[in-house]
Amino acid sequence: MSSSSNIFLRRYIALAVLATILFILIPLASSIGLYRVTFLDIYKMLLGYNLPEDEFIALWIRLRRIFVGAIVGALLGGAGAIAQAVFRNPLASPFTLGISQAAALGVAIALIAGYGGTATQWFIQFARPYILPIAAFTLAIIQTVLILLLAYRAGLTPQALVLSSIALSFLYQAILAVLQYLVLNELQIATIVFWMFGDLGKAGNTELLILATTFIPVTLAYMLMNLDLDLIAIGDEIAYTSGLNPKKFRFFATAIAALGTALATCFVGVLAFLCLLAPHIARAIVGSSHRYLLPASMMISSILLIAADTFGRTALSPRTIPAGIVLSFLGAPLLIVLLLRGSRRW
Amino acid sequence: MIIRVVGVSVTYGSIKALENVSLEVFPGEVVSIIGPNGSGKTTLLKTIDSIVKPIAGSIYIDGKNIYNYTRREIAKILSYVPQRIDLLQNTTVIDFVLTGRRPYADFSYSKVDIDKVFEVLKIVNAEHLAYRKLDELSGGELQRIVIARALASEPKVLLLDEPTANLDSKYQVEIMKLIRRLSSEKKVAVIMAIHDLTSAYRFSDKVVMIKNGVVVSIGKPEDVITEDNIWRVFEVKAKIFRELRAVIVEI
Repeated sequence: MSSSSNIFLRRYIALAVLATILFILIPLASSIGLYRVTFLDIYKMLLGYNLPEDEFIALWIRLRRIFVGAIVGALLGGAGAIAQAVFRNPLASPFTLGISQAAALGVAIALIAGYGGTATQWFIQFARPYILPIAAFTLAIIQTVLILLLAYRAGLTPQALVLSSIALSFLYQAILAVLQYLVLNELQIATIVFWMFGDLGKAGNTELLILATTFIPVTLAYMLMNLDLDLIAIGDEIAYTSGLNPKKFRFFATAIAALGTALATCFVGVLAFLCLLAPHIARAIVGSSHRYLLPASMMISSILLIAADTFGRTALSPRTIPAGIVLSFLGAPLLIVLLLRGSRRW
Repeated sequence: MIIRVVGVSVTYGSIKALENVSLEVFPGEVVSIIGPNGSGKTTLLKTIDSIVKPIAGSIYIDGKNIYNYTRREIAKILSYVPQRIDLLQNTTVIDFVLTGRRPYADFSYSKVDIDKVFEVLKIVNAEHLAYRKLDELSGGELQRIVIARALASEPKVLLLDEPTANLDSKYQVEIMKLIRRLSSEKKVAVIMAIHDLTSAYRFSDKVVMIKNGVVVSIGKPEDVITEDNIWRVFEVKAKIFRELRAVIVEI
């Protein structure tokens, strides 16, 4: 019994370590940048010390994007872990299943149509930021239904499912390209394309507020599914005999993952690989029980995203490389390493 | 817990998988279902666990129709072990067996559940494997763990689909002895689909022989596993050594 509490204790310790890294990383990453401040200034600010106004503004903009990174990362990390369990597929994630791209198309359509905001000059203005998650979720849920139809009706193998999802995501990019080509001028195209790279700097105060308030119920929904995710990962028949309706649950779980992805995507664009990689790293640390895997994957994803964003802000300073691009540089080789290590099992 | 299968027929599309199958299983009884590939052995197991819905006939648990039980109630009575399971990477034995406690847990597993997991691991002699990864286990070890998971829900009836397939002789005997032990000590009834006629002969209380979804013979092993019946169902000549309780197929 003592050793059994050990294994669970070890997992809690791993989670605590990840949480500590995240809590150190947030002020640390905010202290790095053009405007030099120390680690401690961030704590001062968070504790309500009055800072000079210009310093406050500079710091808040930086801190805000890091908070956005933490939330967006967590939403994606959880969604990735869910996708891998319900599709019983190590290649599944909102990114490889095309849900991210579908959500991005939804936002782009809303922006181009002028409902959600305007893409003018160098900035996207989210005039009605509340519309964007709805637009993103609408297309994300359409993609979810398409994937499930492909999986059930055509009985595709896990690999074929991912490949056809990637094909669909190319379709979404093509639709987006047509819209851009017909509707927008060069400057607007540049803005939309830039947004598609995935950049944390686009989200303002209202966007952060939307993310922060939706983050809590979505995380709760993620966590409430943990026992059933363990079950469905073993197999549909076993899940069914243990009292779970696998088809219903798969749709429900994918829809929640799509909601998380839509929220994560609607203000910052598509972040490649994050939702695919984080669950794999988490599984290597805490094992595959979702009670531990979900929070671990969420925190690892947040840490990776904040790290990638900070690197992107500082590497070629004063130019900022969008976090999405940094993640692709990081994610592509890491994914190949994971594939090579796990190849005997695929 | 008495399981009664009454006049069950199952079709897959236009194919008849089971036709008018009836069967009674009592506590602690070991029942073997034998028959050629595609004869309906797995379908019968799945029908008993109501994974597959029959077009005619019913299953009764203690005289109550299985459809009057909730899925969760059924999960506490019947435990089905499929022939094959897909494993995600990095699954620890203890986590896997814990999933068998799902019918008893709502949001998380308690200490009671964890204690139960160790109890069933002890039953299958696999306590030492608790922290190993599933993909590191041998075939015999994995089969024991899969059975332990099925036992974790404290079922009255175990449904096993070819529990000894892909195992070498040593592990086959080990698993069959485990099944016998479960039935005698825990009074768990076991219904299993099995290919090995000698194992069916030696270890079961009752044998159901089916061909093309129809029960050809049902009863005690020595009455069902006869040279005539084997010829009728498998279309091979066999020799039965009654004193050794062994079946040898002639070439």
